[in-house]
Amino acid sequence: MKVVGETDLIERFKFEFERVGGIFIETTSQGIFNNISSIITTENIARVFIEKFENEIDDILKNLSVTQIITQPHSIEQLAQIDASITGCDFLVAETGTIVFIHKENRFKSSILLPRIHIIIADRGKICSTFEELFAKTAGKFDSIFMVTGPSRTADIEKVIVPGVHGPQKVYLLLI
Amino acid sequence: MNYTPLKFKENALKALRNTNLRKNLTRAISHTLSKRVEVVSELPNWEDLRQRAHDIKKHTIENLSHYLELFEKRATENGIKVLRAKDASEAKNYVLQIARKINAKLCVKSKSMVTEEIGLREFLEENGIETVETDLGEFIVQLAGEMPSHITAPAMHKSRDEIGKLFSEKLGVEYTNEPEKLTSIAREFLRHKFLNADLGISGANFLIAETGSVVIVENEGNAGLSTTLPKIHIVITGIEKVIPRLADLTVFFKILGRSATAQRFTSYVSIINAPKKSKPDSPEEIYVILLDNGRTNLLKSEKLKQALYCIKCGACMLACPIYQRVGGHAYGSIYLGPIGSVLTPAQFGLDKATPLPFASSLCGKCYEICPVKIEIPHLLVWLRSQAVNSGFTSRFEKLIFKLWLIGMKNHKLYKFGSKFLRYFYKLGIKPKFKKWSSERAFPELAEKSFKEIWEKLKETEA
Ligand code: SF4
Repeated sequence: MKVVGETDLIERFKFEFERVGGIFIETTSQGIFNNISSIITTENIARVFIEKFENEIDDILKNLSVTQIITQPHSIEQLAQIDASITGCDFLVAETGTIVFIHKENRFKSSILLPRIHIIIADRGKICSTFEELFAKTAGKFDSIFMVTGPSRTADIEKVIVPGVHGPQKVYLLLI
Repeated sequence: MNYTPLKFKENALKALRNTNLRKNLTRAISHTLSKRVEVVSELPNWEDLRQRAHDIKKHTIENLSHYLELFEKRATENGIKVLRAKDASEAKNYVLQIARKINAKLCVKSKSMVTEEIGLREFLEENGIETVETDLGEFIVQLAGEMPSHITAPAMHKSRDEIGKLFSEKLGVEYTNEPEKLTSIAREFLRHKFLNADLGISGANFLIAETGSVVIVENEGNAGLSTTLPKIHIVITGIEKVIPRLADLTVFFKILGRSATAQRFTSYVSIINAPKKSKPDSPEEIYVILLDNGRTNLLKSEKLKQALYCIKCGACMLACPIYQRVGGHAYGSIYLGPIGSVLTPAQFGLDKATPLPFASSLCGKCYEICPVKIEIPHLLVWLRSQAVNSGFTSRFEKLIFKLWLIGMKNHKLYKFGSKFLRYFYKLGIKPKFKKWSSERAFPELAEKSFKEIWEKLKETEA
């Protein structure tokens, strides 16, 4: 059997993720601030929700220059006002370019779906090759899982694909 | 809604004369089918996957009560409330009781064939609960006061101009026919509903027995929101949706999106095991209503059982030459196209939908495309025989077929018959099947029969 290395998997993920309309950025912990700042400018983002990160990313993101930063604890009304959310994720599935979120205390489906722009920060260790691998790893032990493959989309009007019908129009993935 | 499967012929005729409808249908169908070929041919093991999906479904349906009990047990352990409804009215009453408990005023719904089947939206509205379809296609159909014309693309029969007019009429917005603008008008309108709804209702694509999970697959994010913002989430689904293990999903992940919308994978998948425990996300309570509503009729029949393998992808509809021409509304039923022509009579009684099994050319395209390999043509033929045995066909038709049978069994008679016909043809006397030939050319008889030509050929070669 051919052993597939992490780098190959990430290449595959990138290919699939971009094919469904995701925006893939490879970066470093130091680079995050600049990457997100430039997204904020291009996407005209004023209000963001920032998920609680366990590491130094928390401190980096505090200094983003936007009109308002919302953090936990927060309300749905606040989330309804934001332009973008910045969150982590739990797994990346290479075969389909899917980003996997497992619900826990500091991870919310509402913050993934309500804003126009979703920015995800992930490290390379999150990569799985297939759903078989993903399900083996989670072993059914979760309250709920949400899987995102590209932006929200519809083709209900004459089969024209329109992104951002109910969920985000754009999904950025920053891979550290 | 008015269901009129008995009027298939009239409905179909009306649809065939509607050139606009045919244009809209052709555009949508050919687009999806050609994309589908692309995404299916990427998978060299497609036939394998179909077989595996078929086997999983078969195994589950053969052991359905075991897996339903297991699902019920696991889901209950996780904190989900599971209810069983034997028919539509029982299911609707469960929903109403739950809604009344929290004094619900506004309900957001994501796409679900089962709620369509039991007429849930109309029922809730009659009981004073505003109920909004949030899938864009369903929303369009709801605004227009129509029925969905396809199970995964409900507004396929409408053009952008028609939708633009509908929006400006019903929502009071300025007319536009740009899909992007129309979509953002709907987003705006529905976002408001999402934020104020107290009840969220969805269907399920799969139920996982071993983990007690509800799986919902979608593209727009409306199911995700319907199951996250309102305080209570009710899942209504048919008993046939259960599969044994989480790992089985990997097979269906590969086939479902490709078959339903010609996509490699859908944008969103929710796998829900338990109510949400951390604010501000909801729901605080989840109910799963397992609906029978005639499904056990299918279980009891060795023949029809396999129709329960259906994962409601809608591929057989797009592939069907009849559906391609008449569209979904002509069937006058909730489940449309080839599989609908099996499910409708099987679930609700053959006498209520007798024309449907006959609405097929038996070309086999539906079987060829079905990702779970349901032998739809066989089931249609079997239902036809049931219909004929209970006196569906006219005496004239029976007589014609009897004569045909005698002729086919007796070579000399057959030869004589065709000579006889040819003779009159030459004299210019032709049978007139007016109804049949009013909109299509009547086939001409060849001058010589195949046998005559064949014998000539043999002579010249010898
Ligand atoms: S019968 Fe097969 S092709 Fe038709 S909707 Fe069901 S699963 Fe899809």
